[in-house]
Amino acid sequence: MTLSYCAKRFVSRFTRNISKLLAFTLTIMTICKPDIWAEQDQATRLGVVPQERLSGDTLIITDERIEVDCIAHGTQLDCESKSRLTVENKRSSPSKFVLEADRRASSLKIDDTSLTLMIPKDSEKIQPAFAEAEFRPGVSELFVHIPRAFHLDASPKSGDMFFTPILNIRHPLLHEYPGKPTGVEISIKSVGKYHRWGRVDRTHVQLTLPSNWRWMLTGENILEPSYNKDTIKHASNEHSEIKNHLSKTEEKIEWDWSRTSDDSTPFTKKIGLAPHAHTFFNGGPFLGVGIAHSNNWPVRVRAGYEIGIESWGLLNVAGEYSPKNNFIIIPSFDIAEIPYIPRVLHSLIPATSCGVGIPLYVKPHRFFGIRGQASAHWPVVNFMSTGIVFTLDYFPSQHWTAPFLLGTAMFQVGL
Amino acid sequence: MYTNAHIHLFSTDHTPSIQLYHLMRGTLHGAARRLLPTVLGHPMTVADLKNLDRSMDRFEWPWPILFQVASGASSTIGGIGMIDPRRLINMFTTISRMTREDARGILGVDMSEKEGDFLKNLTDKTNINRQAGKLFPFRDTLCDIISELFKAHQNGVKQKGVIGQEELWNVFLQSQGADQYNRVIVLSVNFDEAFLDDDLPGLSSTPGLDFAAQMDDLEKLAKKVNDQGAIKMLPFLCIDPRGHSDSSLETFVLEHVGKTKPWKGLKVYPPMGVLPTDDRFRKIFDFCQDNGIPVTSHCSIGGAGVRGSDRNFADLAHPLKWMDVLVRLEQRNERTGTFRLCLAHFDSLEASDELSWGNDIMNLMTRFDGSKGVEVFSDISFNVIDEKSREKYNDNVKKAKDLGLAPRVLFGSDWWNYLYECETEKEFIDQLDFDQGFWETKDFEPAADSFLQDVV
Repeated sequence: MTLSYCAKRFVSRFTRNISKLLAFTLTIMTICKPDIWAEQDQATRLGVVPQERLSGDTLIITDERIEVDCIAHGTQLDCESKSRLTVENKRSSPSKFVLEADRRASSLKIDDTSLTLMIPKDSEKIQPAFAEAEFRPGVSELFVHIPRAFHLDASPKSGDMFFTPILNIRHPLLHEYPGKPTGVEISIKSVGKYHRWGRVDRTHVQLTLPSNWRWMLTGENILEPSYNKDTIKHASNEHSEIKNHLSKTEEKIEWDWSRTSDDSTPFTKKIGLAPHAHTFFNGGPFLGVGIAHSNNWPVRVRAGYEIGIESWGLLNVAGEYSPKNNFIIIPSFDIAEIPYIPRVLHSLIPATSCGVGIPLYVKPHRFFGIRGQASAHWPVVNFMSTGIVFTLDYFPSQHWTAPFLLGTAMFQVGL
Repeated sequence: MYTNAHIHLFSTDHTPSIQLYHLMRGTLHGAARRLLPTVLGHPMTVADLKNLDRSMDRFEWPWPILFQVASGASSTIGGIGMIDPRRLINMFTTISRMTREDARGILGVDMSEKEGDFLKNLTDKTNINRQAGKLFPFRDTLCDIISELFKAHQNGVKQKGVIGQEELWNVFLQSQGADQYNRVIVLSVNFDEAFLDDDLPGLSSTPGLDFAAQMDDLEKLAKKVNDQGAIKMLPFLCIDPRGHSDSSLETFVLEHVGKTKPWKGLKVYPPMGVLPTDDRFRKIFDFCQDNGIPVTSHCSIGGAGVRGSDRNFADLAHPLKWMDVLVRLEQRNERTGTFRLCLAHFDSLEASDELSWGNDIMNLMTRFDGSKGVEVFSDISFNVIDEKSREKYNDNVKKAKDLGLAPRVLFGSDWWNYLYECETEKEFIDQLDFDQGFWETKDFEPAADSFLQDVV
């Protein structure tokens, strides 16, 4: 039987059974299938816009100020928004317009006078609330309050975010379930995006978060948010206050945007928010095989399980076996490479870690030593990683043996 | 010679990049949907679909495995039907200024344009985004790809200018089989307001050319084509009340739509966030009824529409969303004509039975047969039939004939939307298997005559 015959036969069988293979693979994956995620509840617009598109010689927004203030209940985040629009009516007479606001809005005022918000009868709830407003010539101020602009759930069941690259790479399959670290994403955008006002000149956004939540702009590396000094005026943990009977420390983040030309893109940001609540994250199992610097029996096999500590650490327990050296159990702790290097290079540059452990000889005698270890993993396929692990064990002298060193090099896969 | 009652001529210039993202994502999602019932052991439910939808952006179960296996299998056997990059490129290059080489480079396929290469490129880029800690690695990968495709298009636009309606029309006429049409309904689509609530990184929610530009262009083209006389072009105006005051849209329709006006009918696109029951449509539909102005409404789970991770407006296209409007028009005492509504696409052949609307469409066609001032039609545009949907399509056709509804089923193709399945009009028509004892393209003419009777 020639090699080419075997190859052809394999390809032929593979081709015939492709749908069965797909179904089989997917069936296996079904065991990891998560429950349905909860819907994230978000207001689409925080401000207010006219029902019709207006030209630049009618109503313009000279200043837009959006405040989003969030409080957390565990992994849930509730945010209220207050939006203030300074509107200039360029006409010489009062002008009436229909304004549209998010259906969640509780209050709409013009110059401190409340307007009656009407909710259209709409079973799909897609049509916005509306109110009629009269703008006197000159400047008026609109105020919109949405008490629950965002109701977000960042629990493992519902959230969307990952921020443990080391586990992503070493255990791409299993680190997600259960107890995966998650977060949520919100959109904050200027009313200018709707192209309804004559124009919007300036936008100021202030986002207030519990300080035990982290934030980052979408599209950025989650562990390396680039706090762009040009756009972020201020970001600090500066004060505490009592709100809703919850004592909390807050973090305020602010953005300023100004129109520079008629083509200026209005302020729009997608912002990822994640609680710091989790510390330990599920990792997954690993299997290894390699050789030891040993005169007796150089081949060793290894199996174990590891979990992540935040994004920077790994706790693992491994068992190693060789017919002559018998069996060692090694609890160990590794520091994962914190991604100072661009994570985008990880297809080429491995995810590395180094750490220490305690190798416990179980058989033939019970004694222990100390281990130093280092590893590197590559995400070769997206449900498994491959890597190499180097270990060096030192065992002090026992009454039956002198102190000795045992070095190993192993090929390892992680699920 | 016969009537094509459903084509679109909008280009990448008329389309926000966010829409192309949804189109491409929907194509991949649709392909995977076909595999899932096998795994689940039961027909797909709405809950399953939602799970699948969210997990796609996050690239969680079952996507990593699915793509890995699909790209491996495609490399071995050439393709397993996830997506055919050759036809995807056909579609993009037809409506864009990008070259085939540009599109190949961005999609990561070489001259052979193999599915496996594209899926591998997509998987690799997603993995890089995932390892980089992106919130939604698959979503961001697709956004990057669409953004690059748009940039390639914009580079082409700088050299050759935007793609106008006439250019697209000429390309359509060159499609094999298009010479069989003597009347073509061109449905405009208004993207100006569709995606304003939707945000995706790096993508635009508004088209490069606004709807007013599309309208001007199409109006001029229709006049030119109709003056030449070889073929009759019937432009339908897409109406979206958003961005209009209570009366401005109504005024425009009353002045510009009718037998002697530039626009011969109306198009409504509910999954872009527009309900047929919107009050601002009320007087417009009354006007349509009194003057026999035909209205076509998108009516399938697929197509252009808002499908972000948090919002899904596909259900707004459901035929029963029209029920209140149709009943009101039927009971309208002062009516002087017939309201003719075409619920397009006849059925969502690609959807599971639960999400299939064919029966609801036929029920409405039976209920509103024109005898009381309301007549419901359907068209078979975008009925791209594969092995699995063949039976469903045949059943629909048989049922329509048995119920006597065939004289109200229009022929339509949808043109470039189907290019990733069929390359030409002829190929689209051929795959409908008109010669299987069901109907032929000429059989649709009575429906077209009836639908258009008051405007041509």
